[in-house]
Amino acid sequence: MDSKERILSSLKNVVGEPLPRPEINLQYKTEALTEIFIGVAEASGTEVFLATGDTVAETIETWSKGGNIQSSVPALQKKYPLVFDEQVPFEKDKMPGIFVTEASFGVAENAALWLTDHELSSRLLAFIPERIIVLLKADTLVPTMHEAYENIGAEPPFGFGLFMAGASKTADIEQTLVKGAQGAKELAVILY
Amino acid sequence: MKGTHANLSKDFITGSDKTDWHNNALWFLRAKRDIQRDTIEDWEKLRSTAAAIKDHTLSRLPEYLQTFEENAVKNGMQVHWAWDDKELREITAKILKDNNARSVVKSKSMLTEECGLNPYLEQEGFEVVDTDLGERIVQLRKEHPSHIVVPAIHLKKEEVSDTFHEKMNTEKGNASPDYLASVAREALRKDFMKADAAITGVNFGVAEAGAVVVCTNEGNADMGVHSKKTVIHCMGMEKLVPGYDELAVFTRLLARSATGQPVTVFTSHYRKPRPETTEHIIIVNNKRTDIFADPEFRQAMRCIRCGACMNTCPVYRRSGGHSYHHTVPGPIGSVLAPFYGKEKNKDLPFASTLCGSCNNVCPVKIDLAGLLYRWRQKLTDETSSDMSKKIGMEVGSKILKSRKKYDLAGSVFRWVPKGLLQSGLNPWNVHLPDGRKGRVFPEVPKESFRQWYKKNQEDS
Ligand code: SF4
Repeated sequence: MDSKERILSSLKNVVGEPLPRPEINLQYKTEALTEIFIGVAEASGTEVFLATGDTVAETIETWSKGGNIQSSVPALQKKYPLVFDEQVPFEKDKMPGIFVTEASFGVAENAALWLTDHELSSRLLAFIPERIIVLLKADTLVPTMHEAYENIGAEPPFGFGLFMAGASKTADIEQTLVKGAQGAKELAVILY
Repeated sequence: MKGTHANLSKDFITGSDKTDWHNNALWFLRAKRDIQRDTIEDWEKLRSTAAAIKDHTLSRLPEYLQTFEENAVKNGMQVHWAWDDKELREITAKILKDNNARSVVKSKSMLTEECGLNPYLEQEGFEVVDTDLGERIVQLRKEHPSHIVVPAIHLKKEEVSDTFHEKMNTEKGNASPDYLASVAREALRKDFMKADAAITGVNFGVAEAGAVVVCTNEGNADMGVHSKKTVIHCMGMEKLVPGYDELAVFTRLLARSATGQPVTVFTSHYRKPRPETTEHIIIVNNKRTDIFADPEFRQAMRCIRCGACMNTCPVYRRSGGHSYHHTVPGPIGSVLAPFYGKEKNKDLPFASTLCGSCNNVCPVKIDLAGLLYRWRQKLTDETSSDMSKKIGMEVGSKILKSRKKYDLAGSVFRWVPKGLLQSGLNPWNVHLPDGRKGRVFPEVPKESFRQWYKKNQEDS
């Protein structure tokens, strides 16, 4: 008997009666999603900028202070072409100084942003650049993770999916918070 | 009696000035957890829903494991099953060899710690680098994590600075966490570039999606997973949840309970491998079928390894994680440990006050104090007893059963000179290496409570 069979048969011998799949009834009416999102994001060290469709580009420029910007957002790719190459991910010349992407939605309760292969174009781009800008349409905000996973279930299946809720951080040395442990050192969200 | 919790904690408590500092560091996490709890409408309902989901999943575990495997395979993942720690080690080494991988970057996984993966791989000639900063620190010091979420919580920054100075040539005496973390970042970046393969633990396996979910704050798991051609996820079989709706409940609870964050910085869902990459999932048993088979203890498999029971435990906080001679310390560790050796771990369920604080914070509502109490009864019957404890218990039981003997024992005790009670003859007293007294037997009051009460009743 191989290990799979051995595990399954050991479990089946003692498993007992199946219990019903519980109802998940934890959604409540939440207002002021934008305010909640901004509060939580700022508390975890993310900079949030309010913009309109017309001022997004300007906000990107100001925050970037002239660094090497690359973007996976179709509308921005002409201006900030993506030269990053997954085959040589650590090559300095190809790595963006600032990477700009757009989340498909955001979650107010924890300021998490949902990004998949589709938005990122290369998975590593969510981790390797030192500074990241995520664009987010304010009307995509959902109150909690319950609605968030409802969205995910309704979207076409992803290969890689990520909730990003800030810049990389660690508190492993005497509980002192240090930003930029491994991934991005700074994260900015442009809400429009 | 070497190697018991009581003996191992002695050094931590009396031989260092860490007790209060450690106590406060953990309480800081507990307090942050409480703040997060208060931001959630219906937190208690969230906890009971989580417990019910886990019970449901466990009650259909064989089906869910198969559904998970089928879907993961459809997504292009390769799924393996390991009966025990040995098989996990062997499967991992084989995958690495088959893919010509010599060096590995590894993100946090208490499961691989439990299964002794690192020492085995090193012995087989692989180079293994733990990439979570806390785990890297304990790896460089050749220690084990003292906590399942914050592995280096037992260390002061000066100790980290000394270790880094010795191993990574950092400035001597510079203990700034910013500085130390930035040096580690540079060093680990090189390890990421060099490595041939990545290994991660798993926080959740989503059966209906065939996906594994890994939660980190540093992003270290992803740095490896997305840059290597060979990727291995090691998953304990209790990590399954049915679908996304259920996953939502746990992503709301995990980080809030663990570190008091609204969610971990990165919650990564791995479903399909990148092109030209082989991605493996190893489903691990290692005694979980024994825990599952025990109707009283099955609920321990609800555990999502958040560490909240450790952060709140008055014994853990003051004795440090290394006093528990088992991979997972604290209340849940002491519940699990006897499944991995009753005789050698029989002291652990006693390393608790049974105050029940762990029950109150556990996001999946495991009756930790109840299970520890249950172990005490079982282990007293099922393992050899410690002679001095046995005699003490028998004498104690005789005295406590009789009012007269109890009063007599109390008054005799009061006659023992203070000098003797507080001398080295009483094993309760502990002297620090510098001669100061570390723990001193308290002075015995002149009258018993009963006498005091009687007198005060008469006075009033
Ligand atoms: S037993 Fe509960 S509190 Fe302790 S680690 Fe597991 S889930 Fe967290």
